[in-house]
Amino acid sequence: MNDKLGGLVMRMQGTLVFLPAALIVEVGPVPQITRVPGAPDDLLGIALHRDELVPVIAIGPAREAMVICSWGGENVALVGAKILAANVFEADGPTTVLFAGERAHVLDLASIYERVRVGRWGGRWGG
Amino acid sequence: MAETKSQARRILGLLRQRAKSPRARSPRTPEEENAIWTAHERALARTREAAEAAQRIAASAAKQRSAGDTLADRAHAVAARSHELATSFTRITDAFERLGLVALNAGLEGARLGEVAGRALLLVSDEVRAQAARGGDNARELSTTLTEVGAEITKLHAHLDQTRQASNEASQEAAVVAAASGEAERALVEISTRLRSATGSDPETVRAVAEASEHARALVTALGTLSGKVPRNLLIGALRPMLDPLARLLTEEERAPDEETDG
Repeated sequence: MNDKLGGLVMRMQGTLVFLPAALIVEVGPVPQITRVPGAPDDLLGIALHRDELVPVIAIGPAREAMVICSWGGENVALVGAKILAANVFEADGPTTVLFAGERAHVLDLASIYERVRVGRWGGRWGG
Repeated sequence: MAETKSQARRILGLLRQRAKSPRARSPRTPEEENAIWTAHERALARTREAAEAAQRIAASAAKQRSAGDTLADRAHAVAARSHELATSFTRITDAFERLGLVALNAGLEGARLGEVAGRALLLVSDEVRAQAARGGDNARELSTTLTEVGAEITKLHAHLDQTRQASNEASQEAAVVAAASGEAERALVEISTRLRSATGSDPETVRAVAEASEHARALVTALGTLSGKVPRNLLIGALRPMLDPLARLLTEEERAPDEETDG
């Protein structure tokens, strides 16, 4: 295990989280998001990113930037967290890094993705 | 000396006769008539001054209104410019935010490269993000200040409108005062015409008569003071140079009422 991890540290509803650089495609401004009728609450809608439609998932109330992540072979956008730093951080365990003396846990993207996937639509999206 | 005494007696006789004439029994003294004419002239002069002052006020109000119009136009232009600047600052804020995101992506690239290989990129990313954040904050602050300035200018515009309204009202009131003063002046001129007709006198004559009356009263007072102190012959001798003209004047005056009655 490396003792340094590169990625983004964000504050998500008061909690520090870390998103590894390997999962991040790009960070960009929040574009126009189109709501999808009947979609789960966490799924804000869909947005156009570099000629590709991506689902946009809300992980908090902030709307200052959108993080495009690669998960399960497709791109997923996250909005709602306040981005604090993009850097190489000291690891404090397998799922934790240190940022300004605080612990930031690795964002559980799998759970977020799964929660949205099995939302109201059940298995109709991504399954 | 005997001649002087005879003249004096004749003058006394003329004065007594004159005192019995209808003119001498006029209800007004020369001083009263003079006071009426003086008050009339004063009223006329003040009325003319009031009319001129009202015209000056109207002219001043017109200038003030014109200056207010210019100021309102300028305020409107500044408010529009301020709005444009606020929009520009919004674009600047957006540009700083985009720059921050670009720096963030550069930082991510540095993070992918690793601590050693990506150090330079990470440092530049941090610095650019910090500067972009600072620039964005300043631009937002300026935009807020500009919005406040715009709001103040809008208030100023409203105050200017009120001032212009007040100027208009002052101008209208001044016009009313000028018209009233003109009316008062015409009425006073009419009064003077009627006074001339009613009294048969005019201000200059009345003033001269009042002065003559005053001098006569002073002469009588002076003679009264000297009475018993100065020898009578000496007093008559001193009065002699004026007795002839006085007698002539009174003789002419004696004829005048007859002429008036005849006329």
